[in-house]
Amino acid sequence: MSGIAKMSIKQRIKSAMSKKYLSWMDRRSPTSKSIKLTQKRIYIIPSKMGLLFLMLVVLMFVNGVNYQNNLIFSFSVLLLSIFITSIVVTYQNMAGLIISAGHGEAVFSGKTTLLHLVIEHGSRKTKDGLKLGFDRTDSLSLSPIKSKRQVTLNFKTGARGFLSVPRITLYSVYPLGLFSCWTWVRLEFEGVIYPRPLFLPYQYVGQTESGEESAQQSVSSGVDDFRGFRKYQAGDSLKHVAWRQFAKTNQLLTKEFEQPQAQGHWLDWDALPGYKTEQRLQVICGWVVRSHEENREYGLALPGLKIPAGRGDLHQQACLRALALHGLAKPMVNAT
Amino acid sequence: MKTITLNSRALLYLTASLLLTLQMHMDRLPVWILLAAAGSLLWRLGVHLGRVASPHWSIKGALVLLGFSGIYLTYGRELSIESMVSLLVAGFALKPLEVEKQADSYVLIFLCYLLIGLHFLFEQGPLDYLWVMCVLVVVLTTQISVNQSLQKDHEEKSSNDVHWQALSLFLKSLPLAAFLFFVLPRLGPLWVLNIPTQDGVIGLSDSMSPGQIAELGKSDELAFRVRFDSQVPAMKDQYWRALVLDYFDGETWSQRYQPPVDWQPAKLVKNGAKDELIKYEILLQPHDQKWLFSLGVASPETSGIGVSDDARLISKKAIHGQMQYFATSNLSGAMQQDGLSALALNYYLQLPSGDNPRSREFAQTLKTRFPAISDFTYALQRYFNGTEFYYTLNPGELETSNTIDEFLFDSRKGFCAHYAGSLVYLMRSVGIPARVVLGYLGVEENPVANYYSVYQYNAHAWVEIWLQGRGWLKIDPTGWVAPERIEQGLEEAVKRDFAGFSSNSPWLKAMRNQFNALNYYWNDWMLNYKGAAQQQLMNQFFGDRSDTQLILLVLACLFSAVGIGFVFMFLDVRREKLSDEQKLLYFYRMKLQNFGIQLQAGSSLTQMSELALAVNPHLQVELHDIRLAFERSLYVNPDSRMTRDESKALKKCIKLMFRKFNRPVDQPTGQSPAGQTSSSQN
Repeated sequence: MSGIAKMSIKQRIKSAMSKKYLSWMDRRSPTSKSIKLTQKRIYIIPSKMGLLFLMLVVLMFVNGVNYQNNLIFSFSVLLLSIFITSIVVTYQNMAGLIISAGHGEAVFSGKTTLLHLVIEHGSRKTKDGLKLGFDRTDSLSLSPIKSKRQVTLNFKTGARGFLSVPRITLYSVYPLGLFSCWTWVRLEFEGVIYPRPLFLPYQYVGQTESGEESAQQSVSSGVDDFRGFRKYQAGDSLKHVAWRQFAKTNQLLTKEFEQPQAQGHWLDWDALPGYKTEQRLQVICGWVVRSHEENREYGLALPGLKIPAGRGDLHQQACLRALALHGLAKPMVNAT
Repeated sequence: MKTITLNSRALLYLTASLLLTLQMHMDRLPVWILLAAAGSLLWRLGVHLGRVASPHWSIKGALVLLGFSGIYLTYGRELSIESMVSLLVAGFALKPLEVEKQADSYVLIFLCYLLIGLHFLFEQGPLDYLWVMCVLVVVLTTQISVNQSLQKDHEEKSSNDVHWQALSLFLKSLPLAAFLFFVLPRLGPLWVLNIPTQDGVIGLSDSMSPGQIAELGKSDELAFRVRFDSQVPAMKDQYWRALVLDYFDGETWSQRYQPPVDWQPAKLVKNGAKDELIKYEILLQPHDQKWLFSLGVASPETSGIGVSDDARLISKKAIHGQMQYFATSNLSGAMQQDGLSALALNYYLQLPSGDNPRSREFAQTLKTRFPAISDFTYALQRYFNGTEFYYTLNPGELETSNTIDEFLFDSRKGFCAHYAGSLVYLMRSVGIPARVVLGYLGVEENPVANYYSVYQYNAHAWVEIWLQGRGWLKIDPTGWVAPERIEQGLEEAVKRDFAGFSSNSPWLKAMRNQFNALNYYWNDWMLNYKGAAQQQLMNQFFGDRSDTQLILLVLACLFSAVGIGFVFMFLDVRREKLSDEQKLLYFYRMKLQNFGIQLQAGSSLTQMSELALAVNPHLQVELHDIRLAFERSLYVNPDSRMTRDESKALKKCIKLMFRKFNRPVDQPTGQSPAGQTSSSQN
């Protein structure tokens, strides 16, 4: 019993210490868009193999001394010098690197996003043997970097909102594996995480059964009502691209449909009384996704924010973004 | 730990390192270890290629047991350096079978380092050192390659210049290593290690049977080197004494009498005008023995060396490594003038009873005719001179038990040992104390490095007889028979025996001299740079200081060196490194300003050329081209940076433009720079 209690106390102390350490680390390295690695950020300690190598050096040294053999002595000194020089080489391999955060691709919460980073440096020497990841054991090894490289990193997202990425480890045991050298960087990635969609039937403010029916009908007739072609614009849904025309004329055209007249397809915050905020967002998110898939025209009404009815990929992104950032302090970037 | 996945290149380097390491120890290893190594390596490669399964642990265990018993069977219970190294190599040879985890391949590499370092236990020449350094770079390459292979998930991600990386790392660590080598104080042995090498050392031994020295005469191994402070003694005085043999058993001469040793010998002083003091320094090749070499009556100038009663220099410890000592000799000094102890006399008159009747009779007859010792000796000399004796390296076996009789009266073919042994026998048989002295005769000059070498073929045996009131006198009966041996050396004396003993080509001789000089400097600087030599050099650098001061000074130097190194390392990072085009842009800006164009700190390229254009409208094309070249390399695509040649061409172009800048506008331009500009952008 007491043993378990002790263990838990020990563990608690340990976890408290590591928390304190990590928060100290975070203060040392606040988030930023781009970070240049200098001696303040680079940590270097001998690896297990480095310690073994030191033992080898001592063994050689003792041999040289005991046999009074100057050549063995010089050999041990040379090995020691290689050991020391490799500190510098390992360090210089990482120093001067500039890591810049690009954007993270917007995904739904809980899905894996791709983080885009750029690693570059101004030195003439190729930087070799770098590994990048959130964790030393599960990291991406990079091929030698001559001057600049774009890297994408998989990241399993957390809660909806602004993309927040924990500290990333850049790690290297180049060249001899005698020293491990690493740095922690906290980068600010541009990007949002949408709420995880929850698929429930549509509900409208003060809706009736028939109201929903009619709305659905009007939309479905709208899809069928082909009106003509117009030039493709960025943001048009790829589903509506006239691929057959494209094959013939080599011109991207978008099929235009008769706009459904129903103005009333509002995805409304107020349609879900009794739900908690996050759940509401998740349900509305589900609606947005479904409406987009069904190519309906829809608008979004959140407290303090209204997005007029529209359709297309850009419209969907604006809506999802609004949902993702709902209630978060940072002013929303104007969705267009 | 992950199971190992070395890529083929790493595996290739690893195999090369293994083979090179084994090659180093090849000639001192039993064959079965080499076979075991080859087998285990092949098995390992088979596993890598997926042809065979990795061995079961029971097989590995059995192999380890086999290895141990093999070592035991080969070397027996006795511990020697060879057996220890063999054990290490055996483990090393079997290790590839066991490389499963990441750490295992490192252990294998570290064993490579250890074994190539231990090569110096056996070989210490400059070429050996060079070879070890080459192998070291290969092993370093292996380590980099293995490290890379373990870190990368794809082979194509690793860089291809691992050997350059290894070489650069090696070269970068040389200065620090050299510094440490020169300043780190050498410790004495941490514990007593008395593991002899089994490698038979070629050289004198403390017994002499006929024919033994003749064998030495065929060896051109180095015995020691000597540098004389004063003039070089004459050839007749170059008798290097090493051993005194007193006991004869009818066939072999050996050392029975152990004369007392004075460990605090007095320094030699010049007493009379006749005395001739010679100072010299000897660099001794290890011979695993305690005796040292000296001329005439000698006294050492290095501690740890004593002088025995028979006037030899003796080291306190057996000499297993290179050794250096200083000594002073008096070539005409007398030994034991005052008299011999009864015990010593006993030893120096010993003979086996009742053998060699003809020799005894011959000596008795001669002694009755010439009672004075000098006359007797002269008579003997005349006898040896006047009789058909042959001096030869191949005397043939003596068949009867009366070896002296057979030699003196039947075969009459012999080497120095035969002559010396017989003379001592004849002397003793008439009651004159006599002894055989073993050592070397003569030196060979190396004109390149101003020192002299003594080789094993200089080995020689001669005689000392004791005269009341005069002490021990040197007599060399070989000189009676073959005076050219003493005057011109062995080569001349035994020309008949060896047609190609050493080449007469002057070119080869010069080469040999050069190489020997290299060896000499190597020994002087690398092998013996410790103790007194190091102290001396340190004192030259830092002045005469006490040991503690010296150590503190050295440590201070060391730390400041490391500190400066690290500061440079950080400075290197802090200093923004400008790329070629940035430097060029800076140059361009400075030039423009020199020509009176006012630029703001943040002026863009376009602004710069517009301002320049306003000053000199004639240069529109050039300015435009230069601007384009800059923009393309600086801003358009960061991956397509300028090459060296391109930036050089652009610089030329800029210079050309500014040369035209000051020319009057209406003067025709000699050559269109536009063509040059566009070529620079290719």
